[in-house]
Amino acid sequence: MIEIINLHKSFGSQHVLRGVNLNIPDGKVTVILGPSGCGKTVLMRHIIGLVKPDSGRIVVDGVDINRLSKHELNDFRKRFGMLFQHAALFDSMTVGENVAFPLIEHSHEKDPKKIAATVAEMLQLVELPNAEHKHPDEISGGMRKRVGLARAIALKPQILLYDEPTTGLDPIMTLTIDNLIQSMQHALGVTSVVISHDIASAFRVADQIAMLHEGKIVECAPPEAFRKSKHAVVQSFLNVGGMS
Amino acid sequence: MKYSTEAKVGFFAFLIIVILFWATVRVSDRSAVSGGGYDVSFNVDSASGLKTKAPVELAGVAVGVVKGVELVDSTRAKVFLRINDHVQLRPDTQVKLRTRGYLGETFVEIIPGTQGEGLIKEGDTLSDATRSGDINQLVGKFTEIADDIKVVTANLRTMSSGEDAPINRIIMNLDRFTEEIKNVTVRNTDNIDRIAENVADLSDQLKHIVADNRQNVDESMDQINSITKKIDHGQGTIGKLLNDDETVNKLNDSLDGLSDTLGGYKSLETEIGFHTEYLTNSKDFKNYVSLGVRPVPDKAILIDLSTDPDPNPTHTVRTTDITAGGATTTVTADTATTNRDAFRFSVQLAKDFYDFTIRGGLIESKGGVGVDYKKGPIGVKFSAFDFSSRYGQKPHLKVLGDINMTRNLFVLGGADDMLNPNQKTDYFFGAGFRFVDDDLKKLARFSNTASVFGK
Amino acid sequence: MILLPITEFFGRRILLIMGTLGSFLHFLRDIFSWTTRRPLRLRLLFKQMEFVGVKSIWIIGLTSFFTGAVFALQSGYVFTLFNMESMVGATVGMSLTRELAPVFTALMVTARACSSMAAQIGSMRVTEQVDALETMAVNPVHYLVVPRVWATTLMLPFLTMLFNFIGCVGAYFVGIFLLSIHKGPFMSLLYYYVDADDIFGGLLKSSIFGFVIAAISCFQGFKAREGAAGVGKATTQAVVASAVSILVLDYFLTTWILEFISTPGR
Repeated sequence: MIEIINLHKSFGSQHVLRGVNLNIPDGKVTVILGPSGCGKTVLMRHIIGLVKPDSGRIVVDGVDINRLSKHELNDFRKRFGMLFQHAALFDSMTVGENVAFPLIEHSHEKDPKKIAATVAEMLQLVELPNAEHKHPDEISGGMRKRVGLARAIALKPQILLYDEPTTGLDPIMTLTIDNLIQSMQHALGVTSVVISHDIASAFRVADQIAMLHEGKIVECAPPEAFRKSKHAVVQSFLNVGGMS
Repeated sequence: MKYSTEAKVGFFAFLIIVILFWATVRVSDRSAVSGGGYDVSFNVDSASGLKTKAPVELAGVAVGVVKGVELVDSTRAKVFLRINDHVQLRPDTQVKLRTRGYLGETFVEIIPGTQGEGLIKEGDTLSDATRSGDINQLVGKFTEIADDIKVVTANLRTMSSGEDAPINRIIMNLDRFTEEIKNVTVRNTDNIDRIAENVADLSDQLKHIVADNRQNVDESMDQINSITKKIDHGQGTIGKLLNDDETVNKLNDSLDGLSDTLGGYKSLETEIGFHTEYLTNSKDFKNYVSLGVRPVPDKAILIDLSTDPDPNPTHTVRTTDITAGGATTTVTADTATTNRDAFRFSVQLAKDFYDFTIRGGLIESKGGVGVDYKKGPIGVKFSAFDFSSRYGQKPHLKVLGDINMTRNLFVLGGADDMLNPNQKTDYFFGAGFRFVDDDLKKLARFSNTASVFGK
Repeated sequence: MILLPITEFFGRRILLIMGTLGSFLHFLRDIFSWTTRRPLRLRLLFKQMEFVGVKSIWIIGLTSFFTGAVFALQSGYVFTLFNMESMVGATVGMSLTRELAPVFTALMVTARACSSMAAQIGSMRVTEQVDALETMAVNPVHYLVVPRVWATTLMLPFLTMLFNFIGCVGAYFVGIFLLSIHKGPFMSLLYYYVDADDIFGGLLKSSIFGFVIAAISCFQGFKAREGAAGVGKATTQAVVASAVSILVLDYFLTTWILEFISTPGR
């Protein structure tokens, strides 16, 4: 359970988040929708503690993450896995080393063979078997995202954050990623938070959709209810996306 | 060959540490950093031009350094010196600031004392013998002298002016005194004549006595003459001894021999050393203790004691006749024994030709020969020994190269036993030290102080 | 009234500089607080030591040889006027150990290694790899900065000593073979005037340079924003700021080292 309570954040004169309130339930996929540049990514960075809010709280499983010390926060992050917009693979490492990285850093497993086995398992899970020895700049954007996902799930996190998982992908790859998000959900039973402006994709994966507009959550409902929302902003957004 | 990251960093760091160590030893040679020596100080009116690390010399030989200069009582300079331990100074030792060289380098000269009980020790103060050539001081001195002269001449003037002045009175007294003497002489003329007569009489008698004894003196002179003549002609024992050519030659010979012997001992050079070799193949250490004696500069006797962790085996052949059922069988048992960590010794005679040394004798308890080459800090040694080939053995060869890191420390490397069919060539590396006479003396001196690197 | 824009301009400037300085000090505090945290990441440290130290050997060897050679040549011409050619060794030796070697080594390492640190960390920053590290509960300062800074701090004295040595070799070649100085006085004056304190003072200085340039470069990398242009800007700023700090810091460090370490009166 992630509770976001009255979150405010400004960058210089720009007031990006203006009192966000949102509950993200355990074991479900929550999609945060909104146009580009409305502060979705900033909100996600708050959830994992990369950015400190000006005011407001973020409570994860009863813990206010902004009250944690730097080192406690570092430990707390082991519960999270995050897939970045451009995958953010370490370009100095191979695909295999990228996936192995969190394992080497945090799991108690020191046996290289067992780590290699886990890496293979994770890559299998994202449908990229035997890609260990490829280099991140040799593979396509969709493959990079899948490697990023394999890396994010390597430590079996409780919460998975997806930052624009389908942006810049062709429709078939978009579908593949959506399926992956759902299968992660079913296979690992994690809490997922997806940031997206892709309405079609959102409706495919979401258990709950929230709409961020002008720094506030204007609507939060399951997909069907969301589609029928009376809120003008939601309707216009859906209309543009051709979904109503 | 691919080296690990750690190995590369390690090699690099090791190399630099070696350079650093070497450089530090070299540049510290003259400074007080390496320890040893004792500190003394002296006060001087002006330490102008004297810098830290300036040399301290005694009879032109550097015996220490200036450690620092500071002001005392806002009037004079106090100079701190560090003097090498083996320099022993009497309490009346003095010091002097001097300059020399194109840069006008100022240094401290020690004028050793000769008197007094005990020696100068740590913390003592020496006295300054610097004669300052300061022009101001000279001018001051001249003024003082001029003042004195002025006083004297002023007195003279008062003494000689007027009839009653002391000088005029003295002159008048003298006048009167000579007058008196004249009178006395005239009155005693007779007495004086008598004395003159007596003296003439005495000298006449003396002349006669000498004339009477002339004969005796001549005889004594003749006798002495005859003795020396006899000796000259070889008569009598001393004469024979002195006039026999053989005796002279023998004496000369024995004197020559004596001086040779003494000369020989004077140039006798002793060298002791220790080094260790790590055999990479046998993975074991081989240690050498060596003693070299050099009675003449180009010949030497070299004695080594070494441990050999991996020697060639020694063979024992035993033939036994076994008689069983009337038939006699001869059984030959050949036992090869390897005695690890056996002590080996080498005794070799060596002779130098230019940069080469040929040597031969016992090498590691076996007969052998060798040739060495030495140029500057680099040396190469080649030895061949243990030529026995009864059991298919090949001669034992050894090549060793060494480089002197300092005067006493060296590192070495080489290959051992290249022909041995039973094992691969044993490459080795190692290090050691050696001391020659001078170093030994130094060691003896430094044995109760902190450092070997000091002067 | 007319002064208002001017004061505002300088006010903003000062605020910006103070803000940067403040965040740099905060960054330094982070470096120290993460240094002792486990895991110690010795592998990364060694990797960086190889990158900063071992891979700089050739460039340092080359620059130091020619620095020593040129310096010997120039001072040789001047000293010839006074018939003091044998002082060339001592002059080059003292200048190298006290000033040239620490400063030049730091500048070369800035150019070769620190610029690449800034560029690497900068590009990791703009491609969110730094954030990715953080989300994987790996502190970027701990993982990226601590090994780089300490590797540079450790390796610079080694490179400086190499610079000293090869620089003297260069001076020796020029002095003995080109200027025909007798090697006896050349070497003995070198040994006589150069002090162990000079060498160690220079090494201490270079170690402090190493810490500062690596910290500045990593800091600039961390500050990089907005794509490839941001990375380029960060790299440039890293090199400029490092070079300037080396020269400024050198003045102060020299003053302090002369005060406390070297023998007085010279």
